[in-house]
Amino acid sequence: MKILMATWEFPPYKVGGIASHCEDLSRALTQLGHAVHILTYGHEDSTSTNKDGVVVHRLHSTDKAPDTASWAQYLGLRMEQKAVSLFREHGGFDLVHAHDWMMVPAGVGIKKLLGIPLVFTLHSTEAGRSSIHDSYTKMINDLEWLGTFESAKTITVGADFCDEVRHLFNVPQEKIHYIPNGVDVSKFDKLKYFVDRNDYAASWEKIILFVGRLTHQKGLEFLLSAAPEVLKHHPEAKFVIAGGGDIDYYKSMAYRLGLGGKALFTGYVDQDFLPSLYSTADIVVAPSIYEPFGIVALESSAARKPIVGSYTGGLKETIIHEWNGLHTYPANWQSIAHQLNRVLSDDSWADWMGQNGRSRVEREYSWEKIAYWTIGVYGQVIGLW
Amino acid sequence: MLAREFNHGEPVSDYCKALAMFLTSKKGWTVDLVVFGSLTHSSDETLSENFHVHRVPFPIHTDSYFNWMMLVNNEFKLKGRELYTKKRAFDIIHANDWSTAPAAISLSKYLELPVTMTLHSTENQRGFGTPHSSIISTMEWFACFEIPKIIVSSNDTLNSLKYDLGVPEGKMLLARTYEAGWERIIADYFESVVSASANAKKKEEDAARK
Repeated sequence: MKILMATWEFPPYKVGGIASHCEDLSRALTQLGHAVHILTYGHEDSTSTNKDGVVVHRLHSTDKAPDTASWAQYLGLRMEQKAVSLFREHGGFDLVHAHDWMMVPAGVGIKKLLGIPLVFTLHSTEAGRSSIHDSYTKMINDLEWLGTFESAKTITVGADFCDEVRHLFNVPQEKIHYIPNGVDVSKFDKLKYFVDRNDYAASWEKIILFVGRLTHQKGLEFLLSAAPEVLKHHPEAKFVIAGGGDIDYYKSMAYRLGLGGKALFTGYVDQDFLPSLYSTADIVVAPSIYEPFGIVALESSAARKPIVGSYTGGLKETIIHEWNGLHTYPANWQSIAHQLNRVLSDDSWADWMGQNGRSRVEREYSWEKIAYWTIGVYGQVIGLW
Repeated sequence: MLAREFNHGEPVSDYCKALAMFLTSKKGWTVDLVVFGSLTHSSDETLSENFHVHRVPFPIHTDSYFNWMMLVNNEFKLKGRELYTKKRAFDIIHANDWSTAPAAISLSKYLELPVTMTLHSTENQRGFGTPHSSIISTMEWFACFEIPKIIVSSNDTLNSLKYDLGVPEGKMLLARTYEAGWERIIADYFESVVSASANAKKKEEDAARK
């Protein structure tokens, strides 16, 4: 198949998880023999073929846009015009696959202009991320709806999330699919970039690692609130918070809770260093309030670490309670403290859960498997089966 | 022909109607005008023997005119492609203002047809008074860059294009709507473009045959 994939971020430009998702998926599709052309943002226009054989077309947008939506509209127009020239050059494409609301203008434009089907992946919704409280957030919500409406198939990254999207946007059941994210375990076996554990904790301390954007959605306030209770029983615990966002807010919260040196805020950590950072951890924690998928659970399992995460969204399926990690009640610091204390009290159980997690992600969350499922959806869209 | 709307008394609508009537009655051309219709309904009307108006629907509101118009342009692209596939008879695409330029440019690239645009006014002339004025002006610049000839209806707009957007004077065609014969100026220009395009295509075909 010849696939056009539209994503506003693609490595090395990375803000959220979509960049890595598209990089891993496009590589896996290419390895299965399909041609993938990525349309994405760049500081300047360029075309290159990456090491995986994926052709990446970068297009500049405008610095005159007053908001993200209009910036994405302009980028979408530029992508669409690039798609026309690629369409001629390569004798057509079978479909266009757009990721999240920012690529709805591009995806719909390409679909309508070139007359090829649209596949749309939703990674999260505005209703879940924040709330629909003004005309701007309503427009984003409507663009998400438009993506589901115009697409031949909509893909969601979580089973619970699939139901959420289906009900939120009234998507017919036969039109919507759940395909999880994957994880490339080789990145966790052959580390290319290393962090020094001594920069994060003393040798006698046990690292409890949080990875994610510092926003309300990720529930960090509940982890910080749990920390004093954990430290009362396990003074060896050390909370390492990796991620950008509202860092000052959470630092001041840690200060008010008296966490002192027991909470370390690293700021944003480049994706290349994450496997090494996971390897330094003893436990990974995901206290999210809203989490469509929660890639952090797969990454902790790939690094053979137990995960303590909220019983919400994708974490419901990626964590098997007391087997590869522990579930907590969402938005409940007592539950987080209780489960962290349980894992910290039993090192061999923690190791066992880490090993279980690793074997599960190898078996069920490989990108090759996810690419096969995605091809299954593509095939339905273009009438192969 | 592409325009944002087609309503009696609205200046751009009246301009499109007058030009279309001239092209159909005096030159014997066929004009298909594609405009926005409503949230839910599309319609096709025939105003005279060879003048058809196609209203396309778009189902959502947005926070700003810019974002809405950009999305409505996707519907223009679909309608333009469908009409072309059905009729196979277009010789030129004519946009009206930045609000239809994205669809006109994309369709011209995809269908390999010549494109032109009338810029009825610029964002600078309108006062640059909204948060999206900068990006609208950028879109006007982009359209003037991509489209070979820009038709203007007044000296004010010509000057705004020249000094605010940096458009070379030779790239503009002035057809003052308050002077008789403006439709003929545009129609003659359309004919010259279509004729040049046909000659270029013939040359390409001859070269390919050789």
